[in-house]
Amino acid sequence: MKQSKKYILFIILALAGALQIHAKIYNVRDFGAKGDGKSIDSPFINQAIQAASNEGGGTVYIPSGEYSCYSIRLKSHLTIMLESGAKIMAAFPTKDEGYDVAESNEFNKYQDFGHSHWQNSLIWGIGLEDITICGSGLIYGKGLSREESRLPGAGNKAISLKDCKNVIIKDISMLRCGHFALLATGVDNLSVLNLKVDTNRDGFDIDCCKNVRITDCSVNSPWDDAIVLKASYALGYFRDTENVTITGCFVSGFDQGTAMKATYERDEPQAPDHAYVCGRIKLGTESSGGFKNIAISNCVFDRCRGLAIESVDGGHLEDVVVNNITMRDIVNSPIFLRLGARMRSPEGTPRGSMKRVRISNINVFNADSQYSSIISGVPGSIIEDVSLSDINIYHQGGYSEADGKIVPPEQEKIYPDPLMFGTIPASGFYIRHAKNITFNNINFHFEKPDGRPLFVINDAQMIDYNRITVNGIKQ
Amino acid sequence: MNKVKTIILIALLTLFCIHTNAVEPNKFSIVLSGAQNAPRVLACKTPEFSFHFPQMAGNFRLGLISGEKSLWGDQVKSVKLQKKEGKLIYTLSDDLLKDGKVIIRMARLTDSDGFVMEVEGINIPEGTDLFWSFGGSYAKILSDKTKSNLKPEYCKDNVFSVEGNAFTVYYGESLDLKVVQAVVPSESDIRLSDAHKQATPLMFHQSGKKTDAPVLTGTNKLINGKLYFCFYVQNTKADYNSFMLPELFKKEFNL
Repeated sequence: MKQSKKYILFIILALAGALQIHAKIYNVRDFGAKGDGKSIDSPFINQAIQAASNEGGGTVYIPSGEYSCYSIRLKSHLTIMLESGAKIMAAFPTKDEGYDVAESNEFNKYQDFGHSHWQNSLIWGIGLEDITICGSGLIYGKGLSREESRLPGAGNKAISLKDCKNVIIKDISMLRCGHFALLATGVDNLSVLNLKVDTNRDGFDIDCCKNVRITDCSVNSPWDDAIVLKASYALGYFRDTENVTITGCFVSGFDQGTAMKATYERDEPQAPDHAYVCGRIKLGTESSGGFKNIAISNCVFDRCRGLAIESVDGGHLEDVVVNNITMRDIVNSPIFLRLGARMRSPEGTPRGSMKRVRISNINVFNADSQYSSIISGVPGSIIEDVSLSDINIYHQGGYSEADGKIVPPEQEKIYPDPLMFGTIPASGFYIRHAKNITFNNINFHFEKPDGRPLFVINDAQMIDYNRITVNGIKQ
Repeated sequence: MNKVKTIILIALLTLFCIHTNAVEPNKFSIVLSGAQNAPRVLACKTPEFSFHFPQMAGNFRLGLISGEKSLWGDQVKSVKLQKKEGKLIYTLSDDLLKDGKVIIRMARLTDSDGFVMEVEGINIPEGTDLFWSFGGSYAKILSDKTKSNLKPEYCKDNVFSVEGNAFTVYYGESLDLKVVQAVVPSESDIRLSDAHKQATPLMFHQSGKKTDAPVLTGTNKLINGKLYFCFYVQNTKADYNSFMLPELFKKEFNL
C-alpha cells in the first residue's frame, strides 16, 4: 500500500512538472519591464518574446500596469496575454527613439502608405504562424498617427500582420490606434473575437486574407471604416479575400473615445473627408484582388454610413451574403453597390466584376435621403445577379420632383463613395449598368414627402419587383 | 444746463459705441509671408494671425489666463512690435504679468507656408497660462483679407485631428479637401471649443464641443523659458515633430 501511494505521488509530481514545462510563462516584468507608464518597456517585452521563441514558443504574460512601448515584434508560436488592467500604450516618437522604420515595398503605389508597410507599427509580425493576442487588457495607440507624416520613427498601426497563418486576437480592447487598429494582409485562418475598439481611423482592415472569423466585436470609428475587407496589391500579387464571416458585430460613428467610455456622444458630425461620420462595414476600396464567399450577418450599425460593397480595381466580387442587419441614423446610402474602374492595379489589369450578391432582412431607420441606395456599375462593366429581399428603409425624404431629373455623373475612376454622384434622382434605389436585379418585399417610409421616383433605372435589364410598398401602401 | 449735460453725455456714449463696435480697419495689415497683394500669412499689431493659401486657412490668436482673469493679446496693457523682413517680435506686458513680460518671436518658414514661433516668458508670476486658439479654416478667398478675424461662420465642418501636441485641420469640401498642420507646446491642454463664445480666453476654453463652429483651444503653463509653435502645410521638406521646433526656429530666425 505504502509503495502504491509513493507511486501515485511520483506520477502526480511528474505530471505537474511536465505541465509546467509545457505551460511556461514569460512574465515581461522578469525581463525588466516596469509598467510605470513612463519607461519605454518595448525592449523588455521583445526580450520576453525572443526568450519564448528560443524555446519553441510560449506565453508572454503582461500583468497589470501601463507599458509605454515602441514596436513590439511578434514571433511564431506565441501567445501575448494582456492581463486585466494591463495597458500597452504607444509612446510618441522622440528625437532618439521611435517605431521600426517602414520597410521598402516596390508595390506601394497601388495602395495607400498605411496599407503598404507593416513594421512601422506598435505590434507587428511578418511570415509567422500560431499567434494569439488575448486577455482583458487595453492597447492604447496614443502615440500612433492617423495622419501622413513620413518622419522616421512615426508609427501608424496598432497591430499589423503580413503573410501569417493561424492567428487569434480575442477579448482585448483597442483605443485610438492610428491608421488601423488591425491591418492583416495575407493572413490565413484569422479569428478576431470579442474585441472592443474605439479608434480614430480604420478599425479592422482584412486584406488578401482567407478563412477569417470576425465575431462579436464592437468597433467605433467615426473617422473611417469600422470593419473593411480589402484585396490590395500590397503583397505584390493578386490575392482574393475569401471565406470570411462577420457576425454579431456592432459598428458605429460616435464621437471618438465615447464608445469606449460608454457615453456614445454625438456632438461631432464630420469626418475628415467631410462626408459625415463613417464607422461602417465595407468591402473595398482596395480591390485589385477579389472578394469571394463572404457572409455578413446579425450586425448592428448606429450613427454611421451604410453598408458598402465595392470593387473598383479589377477584383472579382462574388458570392456575398448579407442578412439580419439593423441600422439607425445612417448618414449616406443605406446600401451602396459599386463596380467601378478606378484600376489602382498594375497596368493592363482587366476590369473586375460583381455578381451573386444576396441582401436580406435589413432594417434601416432614419437614413439620409440625398443618396438613397445605389447599385451602379460603369459602362461596359455591369453588376449582375443581385437579390434584395425583406428590406425596410425609413428615409428622411425631403427631395423634390426636380431632383428626380438629375443624371449623376459616371465617375468611373473616382474613389467610390455615394457622394461622388451628388444628389441621386431616386428616392429608393438608383440602378445603373446592372442586370438581373431582384427586389422582393421592399418597404420604404419617408419622414418628409420625396418627389423623386422610387426607382430610377438606367442601362439596366431584368429588374424584377415583387411587393414594394411606400408608407405602407403597395406600389 | 441739464439739457446740455444730457446732450454731451449722449454724444460721448454714441462715440464710445461707435468706437467699440467698429471693426478695426485693416486689422491684419502686416504681411509675414507672401506678397502684399497675395499674402499667405498676415499678422496684426497684437499677437493674432491669419493664413491664406490663398483661401482662408485659419486664424491663430493668443491670450493670457491667470486664475479667473483672462485677456486676449489685444487687451494687454502694452504690446510692442518690432518688424523685420519675414520676422516679427511682440513684447507683452500687463498687470496680470506683474513685473514679467512675454516675448513672442516668429519667422516665416522657408520650406512651406506658415511660421515657427517662440514664446519666451520672463519673470512670469506663478499660475499664469498662455492661451491659444486656432480655427476658422473657411476654404474661401476673403474679399478683404485684412479683416480675417475668427468668425463662427468660417468654422463650420472644420475637423481637428489632435495627436499629442500636434494637430491636422481638415477643411473645405469632400473631393476638394485641404489640410493645415500645427505643432504646439507639449503638455498643452487642448480642447474642441465653440467659436460663438470668444468673449474671453477663459470662456472660450470652457465653451465645450457642442457647436456648429468648432475651434481648437489650448492652454500651457507659461514658463520662465521657451515654448514653440509651428503652423505649416506638410510636404516632403516640411514634416515636423515638436522636438524639431527649437532648431527650426533657430534656423528660420537666423539666430
